[in-house]
Amino acid sequence: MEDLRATTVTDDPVQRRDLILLDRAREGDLDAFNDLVVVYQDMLFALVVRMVPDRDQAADAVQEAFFSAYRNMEGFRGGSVRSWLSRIAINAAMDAQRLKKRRPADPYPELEDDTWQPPADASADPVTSSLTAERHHALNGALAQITNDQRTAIVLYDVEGYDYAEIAELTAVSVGTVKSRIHRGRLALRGLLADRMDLFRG
Amino acid sequence: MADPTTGHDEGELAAIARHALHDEELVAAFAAGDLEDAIEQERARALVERCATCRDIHRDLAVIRTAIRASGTAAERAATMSAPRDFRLTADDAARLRPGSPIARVARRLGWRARLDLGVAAFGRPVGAAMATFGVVGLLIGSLTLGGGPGSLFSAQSAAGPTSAPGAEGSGPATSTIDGTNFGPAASGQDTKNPVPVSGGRDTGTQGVATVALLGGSIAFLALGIALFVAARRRAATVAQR
Repeated sequence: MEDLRATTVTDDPVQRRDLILLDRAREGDLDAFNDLVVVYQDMLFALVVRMVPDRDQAADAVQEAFFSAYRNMEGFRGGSVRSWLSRIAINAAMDAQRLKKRRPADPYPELEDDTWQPPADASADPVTSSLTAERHHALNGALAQITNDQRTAIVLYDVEGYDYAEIAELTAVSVGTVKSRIHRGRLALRGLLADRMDLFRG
Repeated sequence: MADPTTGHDEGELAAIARHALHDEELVAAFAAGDLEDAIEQERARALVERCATCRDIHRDLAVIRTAIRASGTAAERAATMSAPRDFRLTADDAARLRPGSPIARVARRLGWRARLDLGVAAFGRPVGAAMATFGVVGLLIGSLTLGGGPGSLFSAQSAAGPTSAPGAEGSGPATSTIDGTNFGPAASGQDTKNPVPVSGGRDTGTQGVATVALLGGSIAFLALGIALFVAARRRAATVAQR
């Protein structure tokens, strides 16, 4: 078996820890794999719940992602374990979206994501904090209503910082299609937020 | 003068009508800085400069993008929010998901005896069936060689010379076959009880030995194939019961 620590030299202690855990998991140590799960489950859930705005479905997708990661540990070829897991989670989220598309009876509820609020500036006054929370709520509600493809592209590009080429590879479409989805998605968001744009114009 | 149904004046209505012809996606691409073509950039810039609605779109999209970016990456959000459940794998999950073929996974769970049973169950049936088929084909070919087909021993025998009719002993040249060896007519003055092989009898004899070997091998193949097939079926049933 390929020793990941030997092939992937990294000074980043987090990456090094991840590679050691993954190496041990590949040798059959389930606890080591579960340590990785504990480290990344919140982050992956936070990522997936933006793409699949239903907490139960998002949780199922994250569980599937960890199953898939465990099944495909041998396929890991070095690099960042976090990026590898994120990609698996994004694929699981897209699978969940496709499943939802086949059973469209229940539209997504307004994104049940009010458990988290954007970090407010410590010096921000209560009015500003309230405004931030309201923006967040309105934006999540609008994001839940645009198409899966548009939401995925916008979340990956605007929120997670993937570039067009990476999103194109992840979603198996051309770069032009990714751009188009992002542009149309933003236009759709503007339409959905038309009555509340004053919130954002500040 | 304001339109009584919409409240817009004529100038606004004209602007709305004009905007209906404008390409909003072009404006969105321009707002995102994604236009590489100079002509498209110029078109988009002209729309934003001359059309109030396009200008609003351009401004709003920038605002929306900023708001989305401010909503926090997954890593930032994970610092303050928790997943609704624990996603750690159980030992059962791990056993179920461990890499390998389905047969190997089942075998791992059941032990070495099951591995043997599964191996026989998986490969015994096709191999057994193939062996039995070879056996049947061999038997057919052997039978044809022994029987009356072209190239059979009997036709080879006919080619070697005229056969005496039963009860016509001594009335003409005669041949007989012992253990596949063709014996020609006794030479004049020779004892017919000690026949001498005729020219060509050696080939016919070799063919006879080969045919017998073929038949024997075919029977062995057929028997082994059937035995393997039956054993595989029994093992498969045993594994299924477990």
